[in-house]
Order: sequence, then C-alpha cells, then structure tokens
Amino acid sequence: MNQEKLMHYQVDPWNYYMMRVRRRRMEEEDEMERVMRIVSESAVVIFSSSSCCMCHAMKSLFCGMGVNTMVHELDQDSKGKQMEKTLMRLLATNSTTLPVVFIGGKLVGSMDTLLAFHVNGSLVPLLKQAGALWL
Amino acid sequence: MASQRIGEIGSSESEPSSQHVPYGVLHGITTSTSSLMNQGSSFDFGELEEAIVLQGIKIRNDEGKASLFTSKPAATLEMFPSWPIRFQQTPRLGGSKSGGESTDSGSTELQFDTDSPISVKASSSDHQNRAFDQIQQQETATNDVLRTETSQNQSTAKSYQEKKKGASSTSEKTLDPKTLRRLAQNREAAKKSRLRKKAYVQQLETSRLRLANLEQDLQRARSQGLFMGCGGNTSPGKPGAAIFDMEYARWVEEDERQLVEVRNGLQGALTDNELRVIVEGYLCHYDELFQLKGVAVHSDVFHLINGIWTSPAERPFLWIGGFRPSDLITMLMQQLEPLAEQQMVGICELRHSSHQAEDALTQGHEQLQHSIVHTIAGGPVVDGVQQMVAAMAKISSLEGFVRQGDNLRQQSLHQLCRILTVRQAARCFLIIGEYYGRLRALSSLWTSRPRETLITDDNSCQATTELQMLQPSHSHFSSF
Repeated sequence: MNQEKLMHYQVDPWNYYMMRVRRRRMEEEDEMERVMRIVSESAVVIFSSSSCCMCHAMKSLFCGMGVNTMVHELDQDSKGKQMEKTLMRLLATNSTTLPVVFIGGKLVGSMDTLLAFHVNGSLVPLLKQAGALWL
Repeated sequence: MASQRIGEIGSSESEPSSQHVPYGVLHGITTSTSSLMNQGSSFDFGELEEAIVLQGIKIRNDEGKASLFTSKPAATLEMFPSWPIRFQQTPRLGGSKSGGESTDSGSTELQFDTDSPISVKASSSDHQNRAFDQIQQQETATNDVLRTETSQNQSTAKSYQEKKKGASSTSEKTLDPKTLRRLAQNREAAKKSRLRKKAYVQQLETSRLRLANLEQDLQRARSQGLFMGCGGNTSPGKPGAAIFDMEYARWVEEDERQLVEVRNGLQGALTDNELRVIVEGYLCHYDELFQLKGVAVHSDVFHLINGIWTSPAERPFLWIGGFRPSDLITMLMQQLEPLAEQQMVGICELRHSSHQAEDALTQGHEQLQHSIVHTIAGGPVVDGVQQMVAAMAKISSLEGFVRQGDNLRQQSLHQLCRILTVRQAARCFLIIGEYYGRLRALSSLWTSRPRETLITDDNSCQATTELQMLQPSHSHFSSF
C-alpha cells in the first residue's frame, strides 16, 4: 500500500493530494458522526478526562443537581485523541477544551458556558426539556 | 584717542555725540545689535536704518521726535554722531555713489551678511576719512542687505540717496511714503521676530517643566519598586503582580468615585433612564475588574489566589481569588427588603444556582490541590523533571479554576441586574460598595492598631483617637 502511495505521489502529485484531502475529510466526517451518535444516546453527555479536575467539577455540578450523566473519558478511549480534535473543531477553538457537555444531543459547550447558563436560569429548563431532570 | 573713545562709548550710551568719529561706535554697534543678530536670520536692519533716518531728522530739526525714538534707535544714535560731517562730504562722494552700487568696494572690505558691522569693526582704522568710508560702506551694506530682503529697496535706496543729498537743503522732515512704508515693514518684521523669540523661550520653559515632572514620576515609580518587581514578590521576571496591584488600586479609586455618583443619583431626583446609565456604568466597571484579573491570572495565578492584592480584612472571605457570589447575594437580600414576589423568587434561584456552581468548583479545586500535593510529594517511580512538568500542568489548570470563579462572579452580577429594577440595582451597588469600603477601613484600622508592648494608657489614648478617625468615615454609611 505504501509502495502504491509513493508511486502515486511521484507520478501524479495533484491527484495524490486531492485523494489525501478527501480521505481526511471522510475521516473527519466519520468522527463527527461518531460523536453525534454518542451524544444522542443520552440526555446529558460529558466528554472528559479522568485526570482533569475541571471535568471533576462539572461532574459534581450535575451530581449536585441530581442529573444522571453519561461520561466519556477520552483518555481511556482508543480514539480519544481524534474525538478531542473533533470537539475542538466543533467549539472553534485551538486550546484544550475538556470538559465538553452535550444536552439533548445538542452542543452546550465548555465549563464557562455551562456556568453562564446555570446562573442565567436557563440550564434547568434545558435539562427538563431533554428529560434529564424531573421536577 | 580712539581707544579712549572705544572705552567711553562702549560703557555709556547716553553720551552726547561729538564731532569725532569714534571707532568705538563700531564696538557699540556690535554690543547693541549683537542681540539682534542672535535672532538668526532676522537681522534688524530696519531699526538701524530707521535710526539713521530719524537721527538725520532730529539733527536737522534740533527738536526730538521722542515718540519715534525707541531705545534701540537711542543707542544707535550714538553710533552715527557724524551725520553733519558726512553730509558735508556727501556731495563730494555722492557722485561716486550715484547708484549706491559700490558692491565692488563694499564687498572687498565688508561681508554682506549679518556680520558686516563686526567686519567693519575689524577693519577699522584710525583715519577719519577711512571711518567715513566705512560708515558709508556700511550704509551701502545696509542698503544691499535691505535690497536682498525687500524688492522695493532699489527705489527706496535711490530715494534714500536722494534724501541724503537733498537732506541739507530741506529743513523739515521729508519722509516720502515709500520710506515710511519700508520703515513700517521693518518695524513689523522686528516685532514678529521678537514675538517668535518669546514663543520659543516659552516653549523651552514648558518642556523644561515637563521634563522635571517626568523625572519626578520616574523617581517615584522606581521607589515604589515597580521596575524592581518588589510589589510583594521577589523574582524579577514577574512584574505582572505589581502591575495588577497598581491597576487594582486605580480600580478602587474609580470605584469610590462611582459610588459617590450612585449615591448622589439615588438621593437626587434622577429619572430611571439616567439611573440606568449609572448602573450600567457600574456594571462595566466590574467587567473591567474581571478583565484585569483575567490578564493577571495568566501572568501570576498565585498572586491572585493568595489575595495579597486585597485588604487584610477581605482575605478570610476570599474564594478562589475573589468574593463568593452566594454570600454577596445573601447579604443583599437582607438589605433589599421591599422586593416583589417574582424578584424574590428570581433572587433565591440565583443564590441557589450560584451556590451549586460554587460547590462544584470548590470540589474540583480541592481535587486539584490534592493532585498537586501528590505530584510534588512524588512517588517512588516519578523522576524530578517529569514531576515538575506535571506540577506545571496542574498549575495551569489552577488558572482555569480562577477564571471560572471570576466568570461565575461576573455572571451573578449581571443576572442580579437583570432581575432587579434600576433603582434596586443602584441600591445594590451602593450596598456592595459601602460594604467593601467598610472592610477596607477596618483593614487600615487594624494595621495601624497599637501594639501590645505599649503602656495601657497610651493604648487607650491611641484607640480613642483611632475611633475618632473612624467617625468621619461613618458619614459615608449614613444610609444605614
């Protein structure tokens, strides 16, 4: 396979480049689909890292509110790195973003957005709407 | 004789003119016109010429036109005491100077620039005729310089020469209008150059004052250790803490000013719109503080966390580098008693959610602290460099916690302003401001308290004086 790639590169650089771009895009789409699939499985999904303390804070917040969350520890996932990159692309940021929370399959964001929503008073209705909180 | 003359004329300017041609007059020229020449290109031939003309009139009339004589012409009067003699010789020499174009002879001996009187002086001789020649050449030099300056000099020089020739014939003053105009122009030029000089000197003075002020500021800043980074930290590469302290002090001053504004706004009969402007200004003021802290977190997170930038009395209540929103809201609820039902509910919810967020952040923060301790304590497996790298990573996550704490504080304040009416929000800011003002006053009182080593009498005296000092500050809190 590598031999073929090499020959392609030597013979037809432009096509080879386009092929690589297309492949990368497909991979990204796959990743995105995977993420979307994961977040639609639960009302509240947190992408976190087991060693990150801010993730711990977010988990405690939901626990304190009595919300059951599905937590994905990316550092224990085989494809964790790619998923983290996908999340960074979703959030349109270059810095490390964990934790990231999705409520009702929709992206909420990082910790500061979550806190802003909570103080606003808009988090609880959102949770109720997603079926994560009763009463 | 000539040397004597030089000494005499040089010293006193009020000496009456004599028949002789004192070569010292040339020295006199330099002393009085050197100041003029220092103005650069604005050599004041105008006044010189004016003096020449007017002196001619004076000697003819034998009565002073005092109004026309300024001090400078008075000095120059002494320069050319030889008017009558020259006039005698003028008919003789006038032919040779018909057009006044004696540039050849003039240029050999004189330099046609501002140095001409000096050069004349340098080339002075003891001979009287030579003196006449020189003075006449100087006049032609004057004429030539004036010719280069104004375009009218040609005709005016000729008229000047005619007037010289015909001066002896007329007995009254005959200043034809061209001469008058030229004299007036020269007067104006002289005045302008004087004004310019005054302006330049004033500019120099102001910049000198500014320089002195700048040096003072620099010295004061140095003594405060801003450049040494001595504002509470020892490492030279961390001026961020000192900068933040400075900025925070400025913020506090601004805060006090805004507090006064809010108080006046509440006591005065301002409309709701005007009050809303004030309230929003106060919100922006707090946003500025959070922005400052955001910058400071990045440069020195430990400085923000240990709370040295706050007053001593505020430090025990510090929570992740700032105030605890739920505590603030509880305090406010006690003071803002007449609240509508909906507002009460809203504020209770706000307090509840901020309390939950605080708990979450506190738990995360505690876990971080444990993890840092664990990292630095190290284990049997971890080596030094790896340990340090891991610890540095944890410190950067500490920055994240302080940021989230400030975020929570900012969001709580904004939400509060959304729930309350404008008037209530203004009262809120007043309460908060006064609360912190009291904390700061308590801090300063505490730091200046008498030490236990003093005698009890002195103790009580100092305590009473300090309480008296506290009295005036109570006037600030008159609304309670």
